[in-house]
Amino acid sequence: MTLTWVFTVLTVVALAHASGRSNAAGKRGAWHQLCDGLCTILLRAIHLAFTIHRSFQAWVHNSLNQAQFDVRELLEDDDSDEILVKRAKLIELFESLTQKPEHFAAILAEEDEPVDSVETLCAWCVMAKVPCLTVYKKNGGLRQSFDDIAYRLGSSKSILRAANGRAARICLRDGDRIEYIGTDVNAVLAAEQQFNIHISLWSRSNGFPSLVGLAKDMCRQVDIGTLAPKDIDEHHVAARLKHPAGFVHPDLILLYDDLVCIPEFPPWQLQDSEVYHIRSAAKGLDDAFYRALLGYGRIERRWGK
Amino acid sequence: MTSFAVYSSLLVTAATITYIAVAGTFRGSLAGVQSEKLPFQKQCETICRTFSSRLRRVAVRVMKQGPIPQHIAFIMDGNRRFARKNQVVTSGGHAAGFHKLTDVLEWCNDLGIRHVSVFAFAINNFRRSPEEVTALMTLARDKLRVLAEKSELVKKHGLRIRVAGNKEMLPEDVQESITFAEESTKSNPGMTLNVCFPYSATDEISSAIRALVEDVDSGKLMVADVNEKSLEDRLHIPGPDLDILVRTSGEIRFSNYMLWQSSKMAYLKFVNAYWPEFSLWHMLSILVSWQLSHDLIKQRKARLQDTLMATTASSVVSDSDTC
Repeated sequence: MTLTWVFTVLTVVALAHASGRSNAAGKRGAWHQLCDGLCTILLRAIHLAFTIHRSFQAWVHNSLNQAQFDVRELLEDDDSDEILVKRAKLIELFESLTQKPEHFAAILAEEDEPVDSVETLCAWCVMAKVPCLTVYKKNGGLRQSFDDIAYRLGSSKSILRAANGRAARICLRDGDRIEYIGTDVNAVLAAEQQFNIHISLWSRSNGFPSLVGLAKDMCRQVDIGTLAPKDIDEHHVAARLKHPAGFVHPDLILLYDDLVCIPEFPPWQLQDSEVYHIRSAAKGLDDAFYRALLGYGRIERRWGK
Repeated sequence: MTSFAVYSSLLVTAATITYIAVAGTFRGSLAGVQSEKLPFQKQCETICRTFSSRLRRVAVRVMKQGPIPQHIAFIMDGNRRFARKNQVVTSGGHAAGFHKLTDVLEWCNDLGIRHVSVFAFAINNFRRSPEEVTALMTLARDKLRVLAEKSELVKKHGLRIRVAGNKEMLPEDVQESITFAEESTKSNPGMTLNVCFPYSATDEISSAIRALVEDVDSGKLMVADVNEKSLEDRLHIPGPDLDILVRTSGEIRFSNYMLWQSSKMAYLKFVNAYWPEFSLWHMLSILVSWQLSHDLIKQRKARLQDTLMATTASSVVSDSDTC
């Protein structure tokens, strides 16, 4: 096998070297064309072998990374003694993490069911005491399901379990549309810090179109004389793009998709984000959240220093 | 038995030579590591270099059987940790990082990649110690000139150098080197190297917004023509679309680099090796992973384009969409 490999490499090198030559008139004879053809076939075969090897490596990596225990049962199953003990241990583990995100964002794939996904993420954020959650779906599917999501969050057993049997106070936001769940409006008007969690539903329109809208707005301000172009700097733009409840931009982004690409998530908000990508190696969104949070707890942030 | 012994020893020799050649590429790049070599050692090194160069050419030809990205960006992270790991001064790590950059540019040129962007210095990095910042500025000033004047990539392959970022923050001598490098290579037809120095994506986006507002104010553009394309054209690195973003040293974040470009379906790869240890095999592995995902990325981008065209005609952007 080794000898065959060595022979193949040496043949390819020799063919690669020979196929580049032509005669003095620049014409390529039949022999050179044959060499070229053989070389191309051999190179494509090696390319295919390398591609298969790489896919196999990725599959092995995913298989080895399967979680040791299933976290899904902790919020979905009824409260048996065993489940309560495991849940308490998990809460302790979350509290022992050296750092936790203040603002957690999840990028869902197109095929993910929006209502179930938001409910799961909300429950886990409440349990881990992460105060701000953003859920992103490029095509705006979350906006269309806003009412269903609000209803589900209000009646969810897993969120109740995550909040230790108490109704979680949730602020659900989609642009200008806000829904308060688990609390009344008067209590909310006192101070927004009373919420267990703020949830924002984002789509593509919160990113690039938002920056275009900001630019147009600034053009209008310049036109009426309330702003000078030279005053437009990073701080000015940042002030216009800050979170309405005052949270920082997402610290941790869970990319829950097979493709390791950011599908047009608002670019300005990516600046300080740690990205955690998982899909096939995770047993579900719960497992993905759990691993992302543990991974975040281990990282070192240097902030350019 | 005899032939087996002969073939085995040939194989072991070839493997050893390859190992020395590959290991030698980054170890030998440490600044200040120079020692007297015997003629035999020099001969071995020449053979290793020739062999690894041939092997590299074969590997590149294998890769070219699949699609090749047009624009790849690197966050060259890990120089200081590399220096600490090898017990040399920090500036030695940065020098090793520059050496690796020239290697990577050669590989990209061989592969036929037309645009390479590198994150050389962040605006945040001015917070580092004055000695380190001065050393980095000196390195940049000297190496940009060397790259523009003497490098094979410029002379033989027509590399074009552009420096993207807020150059007004730099000392004058560095700005002069930048102007020299850009002017002397601006008509080169080959690969384009965008050196982001000093750079932050939020600074880039806000500068683009300011430029757009200035153009509208001066009458060069109408408010109705303000759209994503006109904003994108005013970025420090307007195009082409970024295909792959690579970050070394194992960190998994953007650190405020090319956020606009990365957000548009760029393939992300986080490599668990310091920048001076980044090898051709890391590069080829990244390329194969991208080639495997290429079709899916193209499909998703096409779907996105269709959605964008459908919504452009009817959508009205308002302040309520601002996050």
